[in-house]
Amino acid sequence: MDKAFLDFIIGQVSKPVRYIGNEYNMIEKNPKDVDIRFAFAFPDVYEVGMSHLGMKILYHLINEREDAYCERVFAPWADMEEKMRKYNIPLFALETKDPVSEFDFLGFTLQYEMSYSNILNMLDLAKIPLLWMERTEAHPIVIVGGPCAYNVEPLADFIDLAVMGEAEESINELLDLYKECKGKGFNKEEFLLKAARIKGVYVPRFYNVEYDSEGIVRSVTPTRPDVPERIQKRIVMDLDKAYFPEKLIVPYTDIVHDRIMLELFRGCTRGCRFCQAGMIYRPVRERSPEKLLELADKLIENTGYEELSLSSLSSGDYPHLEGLIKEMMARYQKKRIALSLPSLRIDSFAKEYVEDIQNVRKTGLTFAPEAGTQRLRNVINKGVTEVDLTDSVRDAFESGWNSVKLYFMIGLPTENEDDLQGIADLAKKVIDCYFSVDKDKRQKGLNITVSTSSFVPKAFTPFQWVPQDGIEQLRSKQKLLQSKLKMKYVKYNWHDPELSFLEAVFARGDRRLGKALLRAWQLGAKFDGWAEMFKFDSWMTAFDEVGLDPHFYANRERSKDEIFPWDHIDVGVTKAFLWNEYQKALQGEFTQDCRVHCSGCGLRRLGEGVCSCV
Amino acid sequence: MRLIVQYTKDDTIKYISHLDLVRTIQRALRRGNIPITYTQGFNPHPKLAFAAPLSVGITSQGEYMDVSLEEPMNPHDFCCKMNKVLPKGIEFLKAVETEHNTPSLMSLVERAEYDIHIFKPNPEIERHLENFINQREIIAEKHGKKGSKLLDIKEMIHRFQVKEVNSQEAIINVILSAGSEKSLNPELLLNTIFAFMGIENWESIQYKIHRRNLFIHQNGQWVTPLALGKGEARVEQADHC
Repeated sequence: MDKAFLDFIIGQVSKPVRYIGNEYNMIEKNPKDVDIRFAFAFPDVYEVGMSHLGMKILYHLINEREDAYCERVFAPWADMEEKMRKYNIPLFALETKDPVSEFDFLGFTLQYEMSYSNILNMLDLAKIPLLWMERTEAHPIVIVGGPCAYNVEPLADFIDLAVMGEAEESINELLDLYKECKGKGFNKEEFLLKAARIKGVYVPRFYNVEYDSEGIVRSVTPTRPDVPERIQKRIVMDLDKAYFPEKLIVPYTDIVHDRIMLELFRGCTRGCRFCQAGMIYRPVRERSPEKLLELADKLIENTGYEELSLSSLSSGDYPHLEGLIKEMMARYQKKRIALSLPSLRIDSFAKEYVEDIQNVRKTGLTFAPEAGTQRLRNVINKGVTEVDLTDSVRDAFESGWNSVKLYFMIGLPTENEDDLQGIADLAKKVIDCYFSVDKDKRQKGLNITVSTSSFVPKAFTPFQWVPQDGIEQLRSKQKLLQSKLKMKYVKYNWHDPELSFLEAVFARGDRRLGKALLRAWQLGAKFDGWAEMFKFDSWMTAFDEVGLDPHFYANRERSKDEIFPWDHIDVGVTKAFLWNEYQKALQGEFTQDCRVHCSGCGLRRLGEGVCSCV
Repeated sequence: MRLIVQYTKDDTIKYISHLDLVRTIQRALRRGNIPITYTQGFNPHPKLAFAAPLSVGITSQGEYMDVSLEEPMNPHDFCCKMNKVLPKGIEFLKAVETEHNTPSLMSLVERAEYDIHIFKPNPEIERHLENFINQREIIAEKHGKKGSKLLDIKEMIHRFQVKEVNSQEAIINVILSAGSEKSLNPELLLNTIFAFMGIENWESIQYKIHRRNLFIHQNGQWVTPLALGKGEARVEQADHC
């Protein structure tokens, strides 16, 4: 391809900076010097994909290998796609601008279900046949990973393999195997058969799924000897020894999370019953404060970033948080580096931290009570009380904050009108907290944003059996909240229920959905997660045309013993534990944090010392 | 200490916006551990002032900015240190120290010089360009938020020289107003040329605009902002690190 022409075309679209690459710390290699070319694709725009920590880790990890060159690929926005199709420009990688169809691997990270149509669109833009059956030896091996890979069934027609769990180790094993197979002249099928024996690697084509007359899975069985019946996820046990890059690409443009992200720990011990991340990323593994400081020093030096965020699923649970923050303040205050702590649970939020963080620079305050009443918070095992919330926000207001975001979910199991009223009551109490603070102490201009998302039951959670609320039901709850939240200082945001419905279809989908996905893409579905691009009608037409009922997936109550399309994947937590948690939820029974008391989720089966926190 | 820095913005980063460029330089200053002066207020940021923001898509070898440092630093060392930590596409060519009371670059810069390359030009282009510049008035259509308006740009064109014409490209060297009162964007000039030539499908024409330098008017002469350097700095030649 004429790269000068590509450069010219890039100049004609909005936000050309999405397509130029060449950022500081981008890895440059001569593709001729490597055995393996890996295109790491994020099925969304640059600003979203570049904000993703997992991609940063794997990009640098693969590039540590002398025999491999990993490059980045993002979904071109509609205007760029139009030019690419008009001028016959195939999907290219940012580093070399080479077509990804020439690569050995094309890897997609699956962060959310609503990016699936973009995967198909990107394959098509790359001029790679969408269905694995139609691809030849000349095409790249299409692999996927990330949280949605745990139930990758809806993508079974399109991918060659999925990597389950943390890929820091398995990706190298996979690349070693590939190099060996390439050297021996093995074909793709031979490679995949061998790959399927690597722990954590799942090759859907080697499994046969049978359904009963109602469309429920009857069995999932390997079709080849030597292919495991159950695929166990990979876990990196020692985070201090796990690979973490000391350099990060510094984008030119403002990306969604434009800062250094330091991972305090993986996993979460809280056990919120709606939360897939809290289940699939178990067990908890922590980085030591020493290691974190070492990484922070290097990353600050190597990136020049002015903000550092301490990330994890529940940063307030990090046992060394206080000392770590103090030390970071001491080291970085002079350099005017702001610290931020996203995903703080309100019960672990302490005033001291608020003031420490404010020392450097103000960052936003977000609280996620998730449900409006204590009853419903017990159901979802969100061990947070109203007093926790009001104490935290009062502290925040006293420390000079005036803007608070509150996140809730609607459509949770057992939810009733009291729970919705509870959301409005909580908002009101936050207002009261603000006015209870001394007038000279509080900052003027109170600003409360209440956001509700619609609950999506996910695989591998205690709520994997429950039906999602119907679209109309969700909409009427949103209308109710709109009227209840009509108060001064409060702004109410809600999510598109059609999108949540579709998310629910794919979150618990089976491989038959591949046909609907393909048809929806043919009807123009892409960037479904972007409100301005989402075409719900196309999706409904697609389901209709391929003869699938989406409500079967989203709104059906499952029986205890139903075989799920994802049952042959072992994420650590057992189905028995999840069922038990579901039953406890219905009784409003609380399950303790597993740092306090082991709840027997099943992780300990995986080996001695897996749960280091206990 | 106040430095005036000349730097480049080359082909690899021509598509980044001015805001992105500012952020990129701020982060490079941090990587270089430059003792930069910070602004006061809630969100302190490095004190930088730019002479004349460049439009997206235009390359330059004559960009200027003004940096304040907390501690003195040799201007040459400053450039060397920065060049080690800048991304591809930006190079600090030269820095000079200036007086604290030097007015802002933005208020001083009045003109900019550009090379405009038009690729695969119309064989008649030379004649068209001659006719274009010899018009009594040169009327451009400027598209703004409130619709478009017509204006005469002739008095903002201070040089219009066809440097080269061959089958591959035509190069026009121009000096245009680039001050706070009067300013002519080279892309507007180019579009006006295209319109004059009767070209409707601009999208298909490949072109490139390169800024060569910026000029201020000092003691009756047109000089570059580096002339604001004090003492010997004014005559010191750029050395490569």
